[in-house]
Amino acid sequence: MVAEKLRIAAHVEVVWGQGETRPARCPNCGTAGPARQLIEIDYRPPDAVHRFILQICPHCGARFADNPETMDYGTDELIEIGWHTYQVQLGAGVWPIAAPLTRIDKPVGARMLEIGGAYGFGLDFGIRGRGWSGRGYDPSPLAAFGARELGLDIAQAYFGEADLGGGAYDVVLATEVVEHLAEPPGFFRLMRQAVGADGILLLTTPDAAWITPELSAAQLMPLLSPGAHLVLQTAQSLALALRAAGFGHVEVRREAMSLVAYASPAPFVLRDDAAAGRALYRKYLVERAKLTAPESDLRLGFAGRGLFEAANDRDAAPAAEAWGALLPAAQARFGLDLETMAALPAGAEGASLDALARLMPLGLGMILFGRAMQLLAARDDRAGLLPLFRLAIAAVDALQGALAQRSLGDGLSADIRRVAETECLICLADAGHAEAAPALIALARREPAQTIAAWRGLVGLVNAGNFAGATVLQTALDLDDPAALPADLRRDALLSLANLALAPGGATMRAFGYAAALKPISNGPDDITLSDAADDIVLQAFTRLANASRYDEALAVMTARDVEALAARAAGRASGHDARLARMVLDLAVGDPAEIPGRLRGLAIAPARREALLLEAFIRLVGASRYGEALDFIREHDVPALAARAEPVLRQDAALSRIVLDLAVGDPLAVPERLGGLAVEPARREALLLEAFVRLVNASRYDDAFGFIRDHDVAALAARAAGEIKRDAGLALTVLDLAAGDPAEVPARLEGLDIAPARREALLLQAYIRLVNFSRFGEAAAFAETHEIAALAARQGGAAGRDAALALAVADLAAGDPAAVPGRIALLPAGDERGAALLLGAFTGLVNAARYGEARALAEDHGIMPKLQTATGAAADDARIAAVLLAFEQGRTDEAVALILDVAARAADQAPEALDALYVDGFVRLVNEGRFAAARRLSAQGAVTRRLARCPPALRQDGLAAFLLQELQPGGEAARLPQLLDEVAASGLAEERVAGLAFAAFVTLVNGAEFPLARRLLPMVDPALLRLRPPYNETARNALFAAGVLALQERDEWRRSVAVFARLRDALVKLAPPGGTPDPLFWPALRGEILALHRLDRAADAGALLASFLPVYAGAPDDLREQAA
Amino acid sequence: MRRRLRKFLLLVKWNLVIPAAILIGLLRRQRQILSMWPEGEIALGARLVLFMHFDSRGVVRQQLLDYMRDLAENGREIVFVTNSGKLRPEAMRALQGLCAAVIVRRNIGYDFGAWADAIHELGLPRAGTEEVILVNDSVFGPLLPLGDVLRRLDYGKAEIWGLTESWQVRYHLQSFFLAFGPAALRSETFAKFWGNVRPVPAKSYIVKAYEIGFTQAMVKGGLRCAALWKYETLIKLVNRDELEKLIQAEETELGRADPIQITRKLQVLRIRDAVARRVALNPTSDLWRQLLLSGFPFIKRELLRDNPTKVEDVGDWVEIVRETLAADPDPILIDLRTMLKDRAP
Repeated sequence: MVAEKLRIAAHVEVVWGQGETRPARCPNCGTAGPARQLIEIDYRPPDAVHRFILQICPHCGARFADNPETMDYGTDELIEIGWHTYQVQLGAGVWPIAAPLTRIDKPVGARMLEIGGAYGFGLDFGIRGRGWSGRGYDPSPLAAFGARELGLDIAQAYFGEADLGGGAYDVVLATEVVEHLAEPPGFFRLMRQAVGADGILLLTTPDAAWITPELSAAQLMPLLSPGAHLVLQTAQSLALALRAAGFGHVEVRREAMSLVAYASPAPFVLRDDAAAGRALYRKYLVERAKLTAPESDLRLGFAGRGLFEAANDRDAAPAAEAWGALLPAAQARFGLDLETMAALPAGAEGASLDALARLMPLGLGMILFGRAMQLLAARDDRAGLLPLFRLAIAAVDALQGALAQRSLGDGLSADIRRVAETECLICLADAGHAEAAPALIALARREPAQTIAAWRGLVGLVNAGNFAGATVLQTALDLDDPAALPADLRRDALLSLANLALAPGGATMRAFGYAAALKPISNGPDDITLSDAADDIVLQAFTRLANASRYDEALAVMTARDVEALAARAAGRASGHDARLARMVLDLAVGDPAEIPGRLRGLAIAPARREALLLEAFIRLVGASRYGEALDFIREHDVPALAARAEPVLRQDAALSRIVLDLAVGDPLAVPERLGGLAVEPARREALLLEAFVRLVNASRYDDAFGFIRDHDVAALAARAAGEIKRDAGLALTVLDLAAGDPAEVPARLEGLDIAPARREALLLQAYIRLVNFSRFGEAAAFAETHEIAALAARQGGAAGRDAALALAVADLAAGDPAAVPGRIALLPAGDERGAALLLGAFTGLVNAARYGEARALAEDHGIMPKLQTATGAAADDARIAAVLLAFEQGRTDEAVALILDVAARAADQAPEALDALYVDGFVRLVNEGRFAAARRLSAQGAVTRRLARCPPALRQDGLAAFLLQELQPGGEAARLPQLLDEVAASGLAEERVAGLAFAAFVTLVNGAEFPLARRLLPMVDPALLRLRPPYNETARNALFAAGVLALQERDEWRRSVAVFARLRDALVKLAPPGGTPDPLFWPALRGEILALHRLDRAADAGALLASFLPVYAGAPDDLREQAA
Repeated sequence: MRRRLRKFLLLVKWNLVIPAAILIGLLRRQRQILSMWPEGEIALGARLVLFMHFDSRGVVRQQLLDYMRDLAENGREIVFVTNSGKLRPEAMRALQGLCAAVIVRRNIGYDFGAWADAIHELGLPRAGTEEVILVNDSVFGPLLPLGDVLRRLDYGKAEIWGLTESWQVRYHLQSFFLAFGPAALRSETFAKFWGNVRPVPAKSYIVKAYEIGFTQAMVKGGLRCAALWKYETLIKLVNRDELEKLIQAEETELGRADPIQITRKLQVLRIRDAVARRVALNPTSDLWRQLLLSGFPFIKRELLRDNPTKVEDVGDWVEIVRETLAADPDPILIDLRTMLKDRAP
């Protein structure tokens, strides 16, 4: 195995021994023999090459150099390189010297000797700190410096036997001296002489046990100090050597990397009050600083150390005093403002020690670190101290750099740097920096002891809210059990871990463990704060679980940890409030929503939140189908008002719940309006509408259901729907159609409906029956054909089948073939009244369809006429009327009239309307047939007149006309004619027919020489006469002739008479060719014309007329011939 | 002053305007026929009516169709001559059911231009032609059968018959109805007159040269001209008895106040005044009432439309037609709706 060379400093390389031995003599105990080589040191400062091998004494264990070249401590070199400044300001480990001194119980005024004390800090502490007196010996120029600067009695010389004459000393101090001596036993013996009988020797020296390959280079270097340290003691070797020198009582303590040895000829007791010692020390430093000049190294050294130590001990007052002393010193000597400086003076980096000493206090790192710790202790913002820590590190680095140029290093600075770096990381963590976690992880992995720093970082990160970073840190280093941490940190760590667990994504359940771990830290039941914190964690964890819908866990926790009691205790705190809300969440989710109002009582909560919870409770009640309670809830808590004020989503949910309630136990009709302002997705809206419709139908609210269909296109909704609601809606529509709706749509509704065939057929039959009942015969016919209703009816049988058969018969009667009725009702039991009625209906139907032959045959086949004698009911009444019609149509007027009279007698007071018409019709027929006597029998006693008013207009007109015609007959009442004519005209009869009747009446009256009565008709006759155009029909001719005759009766109208006769005669002339026989009216008309002309003294015209026509036409009356002659 | 101005204007008209119009008439083509129906040779019977018509829209009134139908039913063949330049299809269809021929010509030459064109075009009189009646559309009616009128045309008593005669300007038969018997048709005078008719664009000239000049020419040619309703007979109807009746009617308050009554009296007085002063009246205007009461079957359209001679008693024409003639005034009233401006029927 080849030994590896390791560089541990700029000029120093080492090779660890591999167990090889060399013969040697131990300078400490004198044992000779093979000694194991510990380490080989190759030291090459710029001006020399030195090689040392440290060997281990097999007897006492001391490590000693094989090459005892003793350094000349008397040279000025150290001064030249600025060592003294360093030493005064920083390098002198005053505490390592002072600390052991504080244990020595010697009174004020005791005599003290310090050997190799260089500056004499130990002596100074003894004199200034403990009130002792004494002097010191040290060969180095530093001693002169110290003597001058500190004002001490120090001889720049080695202490020798010659100096023993000063008398025995109570306290002899030799710190870090014996390692420099080639033959320690001689020195120990000399010391035995210097120490009084009750005196005590105090030594400090590096602990050689530390020199192992595991030690870091920075720590190894000061231990080895090649060329300076010649014999390095272990506790054992030192104790051996001291006893060997005559000290009966020896106590060696290993403190850090040093050995502290107390030795006395007499028994002694050490005062182990560290705190008191530290306080003493701090007081010394600060007080000592005040005694120095501001710009002096001592001021910087004492005040700097004072600050550092006080700050580390969290002793605020001396720290502040020290800081107060440092500020003017730095200002006076370097022009630096320690309060504000943000960077090192220019050139500090890379400067040599003396150059650096001119730029800044060499202990600036220590000062700034101390200041940072001081501020930290004052609970200043840690994250804000990061620049100060970093500046401290820079200052430390500058010093270490300067020292390193001389292959030296400063242990304190190294420590400060390490601590400061850690503090920086914690600062970063406190600031929530992302880089904190990885750096702390790296640190802790590199130096497991720094795991505590990681814990602090964890606390910082959590406090800074960087849960992700904290989680990374926690997970990487498995920071879960802080039991081993100091109490404060443990508490913080537990709180932080709990916070992490409570954070989103955190392992909520672990929070309970942390809460439990927190309790024992508290200082008994009175430590309310921590106890509350633990309770808070439990409550918060419970809240998290509830809010994260982890209801089972939440319920378990609620029971196990009596959360409700905790929450009650924490009523004034957010955690208690939140937990009570979370309890309500549980009620809403998995508990009883009805509990909510009770739980809300006494809970200080924003009204909006309270109302939201009440609404939620309502919604859950509905959701749990607890409709009765939900209705009560609406009443008790005015849910509509709550909903009106709620957030949109909740409002919508409440409205939907209200709709569900409507659907379940309320009024489904309210659903559309409630849906009104709701932003519901269309499919849901439509489903709700359909549901409402279905409920309406199921509740048999058919009218409402129809109204619903009118307002909402239910068919379209159902078409778009799917699943159960589609089926329900389809069935509901069908039921509705069957119950009250359109039966024609039943088949379409049945399409695609999963429904049993028998039920389908029953529905079809019902639909058909209803179609018929609605008189929708056209649709019924198509329906019957499409769905083979006849066959279905036969197949179904029973009441439904019979009803369907009856419906088919009814349809036949109404719109089909009445002749089919007998076939339809063949299935009905004999004597079935409905069948008999239908048969009569068939008879009536055939008559009405003018199928008289078939009607007659049906009547004969089924003995209808005899039945009509006794049958009652509407069908019989109709059939009797039909029988009348049939008789009329087949020319059996007498039979018809007899039937009419029979029906009239039967009906007595309540003659059917149809009878009125038939009665009048019979009368009209008789008149038209010229059977006036028979007509008069019918019209006797106003029987026709009475019925006229109840007849349809056309028949009434015919009736009036018939009356008129009747009166025109011989024996008629002429005087009635004008009035009858007025009635006819007023009845709306066609103008020509009125004119015809008027002409007939007019002619009758004129012919009867009833001229005044005829004249009364003129207003009606005249306009018609005026409008007459040839050729004239018989009525017109008669009317014209009558008009001429009438005009002839009045002198003023003779001219008119001429004109009228002329028109008639001219028209007749045009009809008859010359030589023939003219119309019978021709000669009378001509006669009238001639008569009128004569009366007008127009004899010539009259003569000319006669002359014109007598030769032309045959058959001229004699009187005219005579007149012409 | 005004009279002198009028005299001057008349001087200008007859010395400058009319000669220019005559010149135009001479220069114009004599025939203005645009189309004839039926095409080709038109067979005609013995007794013809040349029925002259004008309507700017090419419409033929229902009453004119009734007029023609009555003529046709009395054995006359109708040749319809229109100056409208066009006929509406429905009019043409109706005419084709009634007429032997339909001639459409430009609106040039007034009635006499139209008749002359027809006579020339149809080659009248033909060998078998016994009667030609010239008729125009200037009357409402017939309100009484035309048969009696036609039967009274006795060509043994006169070769040429009119329905009315006028003494205004010069004695003449009024040209709305002129009937020519066989002798007249074959007279040289007839041929000469119609050979000289020119399409002169001046109504005054047409009236003077043709309407008035025609009777004069015929009479001078030895043809007898007579009217069925003689002027003298009509005048006599307005006798003292008539006046007496009107004065009696004034005995009542109503009679004195009734404007109809007043206007009738005024007209009677006016007629008797004319008789007394031997002023010639226009029978179809001034004597319309007397004509109707005597069996005259027409009312002149001009009377109801323009009443140019300001006849006083025309207000009750409807009543006369309806009550006395028992005839329907509605067709006339319907026509008047499209004719009258700012005047009631």
